[in-house]
Amino acid sequence: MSETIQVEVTPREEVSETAVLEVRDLHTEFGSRDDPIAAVRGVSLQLHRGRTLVLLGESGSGKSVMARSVLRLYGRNARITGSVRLGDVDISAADERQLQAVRGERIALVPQDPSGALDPLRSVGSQLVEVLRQHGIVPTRAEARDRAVELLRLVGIPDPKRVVKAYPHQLSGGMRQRVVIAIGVSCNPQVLIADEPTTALDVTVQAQILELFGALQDSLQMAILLVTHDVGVAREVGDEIAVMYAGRIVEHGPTAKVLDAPAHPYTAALLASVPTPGIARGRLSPIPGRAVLAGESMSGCPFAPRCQRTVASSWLVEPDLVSIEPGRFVACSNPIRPEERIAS
Amino acid sequence: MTVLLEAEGLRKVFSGGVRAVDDVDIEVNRGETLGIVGESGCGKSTTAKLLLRLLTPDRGSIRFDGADLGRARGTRLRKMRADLQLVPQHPMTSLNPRVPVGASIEFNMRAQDMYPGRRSQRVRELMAMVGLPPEHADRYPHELSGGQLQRVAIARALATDPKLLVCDEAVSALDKSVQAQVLNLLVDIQQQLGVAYIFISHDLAVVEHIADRVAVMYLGRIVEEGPAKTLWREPMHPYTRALLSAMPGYAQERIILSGDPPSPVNLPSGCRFRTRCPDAITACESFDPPLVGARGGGAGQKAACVHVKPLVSTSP
Repeated sequence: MSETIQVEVTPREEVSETAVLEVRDLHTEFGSRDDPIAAVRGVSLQLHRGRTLVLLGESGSGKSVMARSVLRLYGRNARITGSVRLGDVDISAADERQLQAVRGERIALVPQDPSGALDPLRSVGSQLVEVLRQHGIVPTRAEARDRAVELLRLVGIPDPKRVVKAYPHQLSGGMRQRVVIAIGVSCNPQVLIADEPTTALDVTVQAQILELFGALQDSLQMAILLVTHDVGVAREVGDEIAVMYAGRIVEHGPTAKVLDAPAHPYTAALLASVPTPGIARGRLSPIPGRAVLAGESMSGCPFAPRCQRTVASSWLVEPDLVSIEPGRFVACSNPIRPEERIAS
Repeated sequence: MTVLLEAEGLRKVFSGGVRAVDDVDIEVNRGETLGIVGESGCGKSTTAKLLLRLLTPDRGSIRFDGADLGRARGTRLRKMRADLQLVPQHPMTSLNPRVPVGASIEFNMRAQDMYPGRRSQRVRELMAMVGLPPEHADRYPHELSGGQLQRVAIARALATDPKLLVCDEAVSALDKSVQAQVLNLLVDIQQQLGVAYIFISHDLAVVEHIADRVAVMYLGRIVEEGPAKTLWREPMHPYTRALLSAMPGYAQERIILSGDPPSPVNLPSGCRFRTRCPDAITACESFDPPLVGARGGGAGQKAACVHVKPLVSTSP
């Protein structure tokens, strides 16, 4: 599905004008000011029309907080700094009323758990109609109803006229996820943020949903930010991948390059720890220890305690995300060089 | 290789007519790993509970280590449980939060009257075996990480020298980098102790990695069974093929199944996969295919599909 989308490898500076969404130096902190827990620590990224950027990371890496911070969904609980620009709108400076106008209409979220996102006491149709009416997409209730049925058909729900009257508990997990996606795309947003949209689903249903994302992207030309912990999903849908560790992006580049020739030791270690089907059995190469948690004190590179490629500076300074080749960025004092990758 | 566990014709119907497990045969040899894969609702966890006798089967027999496990009750069943242990999915909810983890491990020995007088020493040995510092035995569950807790759960299961461990989604809740540590540990323990595993997971890549043989379940039935490598390379059942192709990153052409699995209350007539099967023919509406050795398949490969030609038996 993503093959049809042209993957141009252009340095970030050049494409910045065409970005649909631009995030610069985003920080998200929870807790008290005296003892803050920094979940996201300076993330910058751009989303482009018709392309998918995958945020790949393990639990606690800050990937979900990052996605939700873009939408400013944390209210007063979080201190978010940095800039988020959606075309002409500066989300980071918007007030609640401006945010309401943008959310759902120009930038939408598909959450991980569809059961938690749907109101159990209202029919699927009325929840779709609400979004459409809220944003004034359709003038009358009757038209909204028709549009709701159309949207359910668009996301591949069989018998949408029946499902539009159904309540969430009457649908399977895969169907509920399709409904949530239908709500997400109902206002034809420029940007869709999907937070682990298939993690709760069985693999055969996951395959259906990923296929659906590809088809919707082709027809609606949305920019998608997809958050996942699953390397397979990342490979499948991502045009680009940004790998997160301890609240920062440690590697960013075109999917094939990042996954086939990782430059950051964490990316390489993560890939080596996943069993590869069909390849001779043997021992996996786990990453020793565990990830640092947000709020834990650290000096130098957060991955250093688990890394086998540390150099003296790894323990002293946290490396910045720098360009190693056009379109590829890595934050490491001793990145894996191309000649090493070929040798191994 | 000798047979350790042999279950035949297992069936469990829950209230409301849910046929969770319907005529399942399972065989596990000593020291081997049988993987059971399938999607939610296919009956894999119910099968595990039946084999552990945490549920009583409505029909069928279970023989374990030469004894009748299916009909054992009371003291005899309790004694047999020393040989059959469970590693659950969420150790956080299966370990008592109010006692140190070492006490939970020791409890299993006490329940079986094993290792009197040297239980605390054995707790420390078990902790070392699963790669934890022995002094962690004094910690409470909330003081340990998910990966460490799963190691404790394995140590507890090993406390009574079992011959079979049932691992029900035992690594599914762990992050990938930690999951690999626990999988390696399970492989090491098996080599060291010769314990057999039934390894249940929805993650095909993990099962393929750890299992010698794999059984694929769909709606309460085993639809295909065989050596892990063969099943992976040459799946014979259309459901196995679809399941493999649905894995993200799978190289070959993807088969997208339509719809969701039917309800286990209202099973389709004939083959229960036919409503989603890309290869279904008219005969599937009436023919419920048995699991048989497949002609053209690998050694030990069995499938339940109208398109699979049974092996012609050469024995008299």
